[in-house]
Amino acid sequence: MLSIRLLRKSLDSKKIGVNELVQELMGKFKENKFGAVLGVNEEETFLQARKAQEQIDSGETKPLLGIPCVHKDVFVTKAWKTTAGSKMLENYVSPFDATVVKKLASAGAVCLGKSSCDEFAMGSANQNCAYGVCRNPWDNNAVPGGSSGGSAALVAAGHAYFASGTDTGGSIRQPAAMCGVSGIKPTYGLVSRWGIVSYASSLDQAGPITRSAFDCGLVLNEMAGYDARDSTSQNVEKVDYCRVMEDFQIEGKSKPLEGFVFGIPREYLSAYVSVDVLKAFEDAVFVYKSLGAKVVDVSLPHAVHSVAAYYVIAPAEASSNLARFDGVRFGLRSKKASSLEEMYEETRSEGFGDEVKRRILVGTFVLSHGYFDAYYLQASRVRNLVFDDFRNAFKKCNFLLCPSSPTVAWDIGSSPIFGSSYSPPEGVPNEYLADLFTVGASLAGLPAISIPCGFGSNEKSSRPVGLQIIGPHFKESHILNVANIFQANTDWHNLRPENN
Amino acid sequence: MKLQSTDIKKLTALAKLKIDSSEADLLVTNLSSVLSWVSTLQTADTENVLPLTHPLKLSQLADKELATNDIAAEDVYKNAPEFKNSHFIVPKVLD
Repeated sequence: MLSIRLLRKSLDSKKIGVNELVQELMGKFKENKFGAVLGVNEEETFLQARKAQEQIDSGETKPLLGIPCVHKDVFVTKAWKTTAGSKMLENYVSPFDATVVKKLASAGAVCLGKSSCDEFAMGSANQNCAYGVCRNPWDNNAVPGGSSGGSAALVAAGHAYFASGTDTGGSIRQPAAMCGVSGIKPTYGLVSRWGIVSYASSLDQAGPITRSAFDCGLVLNEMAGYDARDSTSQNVEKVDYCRVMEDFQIEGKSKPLEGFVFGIPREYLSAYVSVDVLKAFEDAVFVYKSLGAKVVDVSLPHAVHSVAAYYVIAPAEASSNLARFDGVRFGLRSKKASSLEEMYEETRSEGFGDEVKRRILVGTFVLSHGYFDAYYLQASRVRNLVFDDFRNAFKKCNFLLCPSSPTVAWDIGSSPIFGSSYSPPEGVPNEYLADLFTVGASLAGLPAISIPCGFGSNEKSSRPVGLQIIGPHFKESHILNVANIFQANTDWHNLRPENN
Repeated sequence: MKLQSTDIKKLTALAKLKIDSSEADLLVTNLSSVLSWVSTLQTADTENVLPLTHPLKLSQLADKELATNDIAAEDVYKNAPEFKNSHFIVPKVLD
């Protein structure tokens, strides 16, 4: 499978036509081998393909023109249903397109359809989708990660050249890691949230999932930008991420990263991380050292609280956001109800899955009278401490490095298995605790990418490991650049699962 | 934090969710475990620390609300479970 840039060249030189390309991918898309597809509208896809071909024929050269993509099913679309992986929105067709959808369509991308996700993006394994489980193309017995698991699986399998995803506590980075692809969560506010089905509004952020860091830059160039419809959208100077990567001269330099400092939060690496993930991570650190980077240990003293803070703040916001699903204006309405009160309760009980209900109830509790200060307010104060930890760390280094996930993808129906010296708190889902390395950047609104850096074994099969690079706010170009340099010196991102 | 079944009843009422008794028992266990775990946040020293509500420590700007015509009203109504005479229809509230 070609990179996006090479595919663009093939389309421009007429080695391949958009229709022919889309035809081939649509076949795989409809076959839905991994349960990663939620919405198909062939008529619309081929219409977009025809329009893209016409533009190519007339000499247009937009970077994503004719490139087949998929959208996570939390981006609302006029031409496809948007279910958010929930029965609540089984037949919902949005009256408008999300800004991200609109921007990528304007850039000429051809949408193949919608990809599977955990219900309302709540999950780390794509097992909470009301329309069935999604599988990892590297091993069909493994989860693809979540919540953007369908997007990551489709890119990994080569069924799409890129996919949109959303990341609230790691939902782009963790599935990208588990499926052996690249995925970036931009700085909060860089990409518009307009038209994304809300989970936790102070954390939700959209970003691309692609095969390489360079492709991430290509797609992010089109996704990013101020949007007056999103009150948290940031009006920052536009950066050409690809230009930054291209302009950084590495040829002829044996140590291109001399002067760069990478920080490693050692304090909790050894306890949580499984042995095989740690090995792949240390090998990746060695690559950076061999390229001239300095590696130092840094401390994130409040990281130990970050997952708990996340699992207070995100459910609190979710309980508020999901109050809109009441059976009145759109979405499911239960047929069992005879009174208004019953209609609310029956509708929400039928429409929401177990995990969504659990998070709504946790959120309701932490916001309720008598508990607000001790739980929600305290979590928000801890969030401030986590924010300051990162700010202090970036005084000592340019980037932070850690695994994207403490374990490789676990088996479907199973749970992540941590390093042997870690005793998880009783009764807390291991899936929650496995978000340890991703939620920090989410709470602090920082940009972070996950790129493939090797494989780990879960005793049954070899499964991908992701390296996470976290940077200061709005330094996406720097993160993409060092990720791109890593990929220029390694081959992990070029490896593909067989038989897809 | 050990919840009782009465707490679950209160929470489900607030959240407008209906659960049966077996679900309620499971929720007592599940939510108690999660809430005990997140209670560890109280060990963090947050004296003189302000709560952070915006991840970039910025305040949100309020724009003027401007009416636009880019979404057709019919496209909004067609998602409604029941819509008649410009109204969303719900079960009768008053006799």
